[in-house]
Amino acid sequence: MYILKNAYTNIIRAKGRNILLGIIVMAITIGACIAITINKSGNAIVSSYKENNPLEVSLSLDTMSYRDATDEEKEAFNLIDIDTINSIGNLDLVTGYYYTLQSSLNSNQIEAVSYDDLFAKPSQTTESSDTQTNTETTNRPSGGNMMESSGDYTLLAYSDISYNEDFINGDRKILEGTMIDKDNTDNVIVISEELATNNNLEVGDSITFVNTNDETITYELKIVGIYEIVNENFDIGMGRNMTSSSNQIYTNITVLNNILSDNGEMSDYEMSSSISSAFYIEYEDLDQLTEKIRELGVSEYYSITTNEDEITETLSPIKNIASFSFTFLIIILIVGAVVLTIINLFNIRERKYEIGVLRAIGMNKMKVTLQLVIEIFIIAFISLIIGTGIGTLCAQPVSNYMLAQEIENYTEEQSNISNNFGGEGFTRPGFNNSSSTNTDTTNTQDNKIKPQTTTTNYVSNLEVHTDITTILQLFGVSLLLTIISGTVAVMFVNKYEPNKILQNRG
Amino acid sequence: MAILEIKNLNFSYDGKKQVLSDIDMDFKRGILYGIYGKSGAGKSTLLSLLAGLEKTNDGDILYEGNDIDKMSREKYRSSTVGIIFQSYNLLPQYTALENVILSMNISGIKEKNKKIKALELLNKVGIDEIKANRRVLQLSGGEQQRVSIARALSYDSKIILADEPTGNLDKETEDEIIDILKTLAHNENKCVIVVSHSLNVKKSVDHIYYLLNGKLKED
Repeated sequence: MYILKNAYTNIIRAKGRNILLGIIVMAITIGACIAITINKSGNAIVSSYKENNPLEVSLSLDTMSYRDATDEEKEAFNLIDIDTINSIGNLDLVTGYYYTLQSSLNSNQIEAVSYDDLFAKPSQTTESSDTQTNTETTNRPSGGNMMESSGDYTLLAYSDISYNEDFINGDRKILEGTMIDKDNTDNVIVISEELATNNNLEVGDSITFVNTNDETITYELKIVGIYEIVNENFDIGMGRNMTSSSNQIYTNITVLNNILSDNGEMSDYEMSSSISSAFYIEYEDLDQLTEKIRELGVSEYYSITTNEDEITETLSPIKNIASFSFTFLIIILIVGAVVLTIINLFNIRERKYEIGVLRAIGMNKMKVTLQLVIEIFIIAFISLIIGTGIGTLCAQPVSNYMLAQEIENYTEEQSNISNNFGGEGFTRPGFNNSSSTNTDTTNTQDNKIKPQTTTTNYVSNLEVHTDITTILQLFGVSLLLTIISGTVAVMFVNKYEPNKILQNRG
Repeated sequence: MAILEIKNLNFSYDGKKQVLSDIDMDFKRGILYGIYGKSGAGKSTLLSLLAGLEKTNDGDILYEGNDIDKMSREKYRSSTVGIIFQSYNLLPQYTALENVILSMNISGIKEKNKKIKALELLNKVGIDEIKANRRVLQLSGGEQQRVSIARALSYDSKIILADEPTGNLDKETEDEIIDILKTLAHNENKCVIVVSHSLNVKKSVDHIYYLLNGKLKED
């Protein structure tokens, strides 16, 4: 008990020395607290992001190879159809999937929103045209009907509408009526606000569309919802009405199946091109899925692509910060241990005389060591509490600053790459193969380096929390460092006999 | 009966130069002993051996018939012998009172109120309560030596070893310290052994011994 009391008295009466030691421990603690907190939070965000954003796998046909293939080779192709997609989607390791069908139609009853309206308001309308070719207007899994005749309107159906990223992202929003749910089989559609306004259409009205291949085939589809385009997806250089988002019409799979079957004698390839699909799996299941897809007979001409690069890029600032903070932590601990040992050594050497007196009047080595270590422990403990508090407060602004720097570096890097290609809008081919919640991309159809607009929204907010585990780890590490450094120093002095210490002083 | 006995003691720091040779000596309670000799004669070495601060090379030192080398030297120093140093060796961050109480704590004596006992001891050697609560560096040399004596008495040791206790003090203070040491020997039946150069001390001790060429001789 008296050892504790003596330790307390010594701390109080040697303020300068102990404050210096306390400041050093506190500085180490603040650094370590920030590093541990950022590291843990960063890793937690990466894990959480991956849990909430499973890996998206898409199948893309190498169209160039297909076109160049001989008839025999084409015969050998096993083109993807809806049955194949369902087979893949029903695999145990697939956590979710969807496919889309799309086709273009014309209408003599309404006027399409002109492509120019995207740039010049108020909107103008134009007459229907069937001289244009088809393309996708949003960044969905590769596909798209290239062979059928094109109309002014793109009809799009999702096997499961809950995967419609335009609505998930908030780029589209239902203004009136409802979205078509996945079990709906009626002749219903959801149209854009612009199309509705330009043609005085309301929910409940019906529109008659004309098949682009056979004008005698018409479809009367009832409007059940009107959506607002919050953010426009531009398709650079196309300039066709059907590429305008305003002319995009959502319907259900049944309607689109009917339209596609009415499109005349479509080849397997044409049919296959109207289908796009995406499968969601755990990150570690990719190899297994690839194997299963091939087992289901999907040709090697279909490449299996994922959005992993994009996710990696999205998370890279966080990962870099987590990695940097871990390195920083290790450096802090090493430097801290060395500095603390040196400081303690000087500190204890300064108290050599005191140790000599205590030993001379009969205090044993163990108790002398214990008293000095308790002193260091108390100083470290107080410094740890203050340091952890300051570290916790600093962790958020420091992480924000680091994250902002990381994002700036990446943005600059991307900008430099675009400039190297000679202009805005060029990015690396591997970085544009799919869509995700954090990107907004628009692609053309071949696989060459292609013009596009890409905006990667990096994870830009790192919410850091100093939890009890972090605090305990911090305390454990810091106290261990302090006690080890203190004990080493005391042992160094304890090797002297008290008589020698006192004689030397004399 | 001797409380402390030296049996055929030989001592050398380096194994070559003999500092103490064939010393046989008995110390009894109630007597103030003085050990004299030239500088470097080995007086302080002898006292360090008696205090258990050094280990003997050859020969024995017996406390109440027991070899002190076979005892816990820390225990021996903290509860059997009281040591008074020329340079006092008090802990400067503590008050006089705290220095005495610390010594009592280290010895492990059972005392209900250590503060009161420490104050009594300090009063006995001439330190009042006000000075007792001052840090030792705020006290004069003589006062510090009194505190050092009080510390040596704090665990009721039967032997007091004093190494040049008046070496840093003026004549008047020296006399006061000598009086305290005489009182301890004669009134409190302690065995007090003083190593000194002082003639004043020499006049006051009961038995005088000289150390010459490593040999201890009675005056």
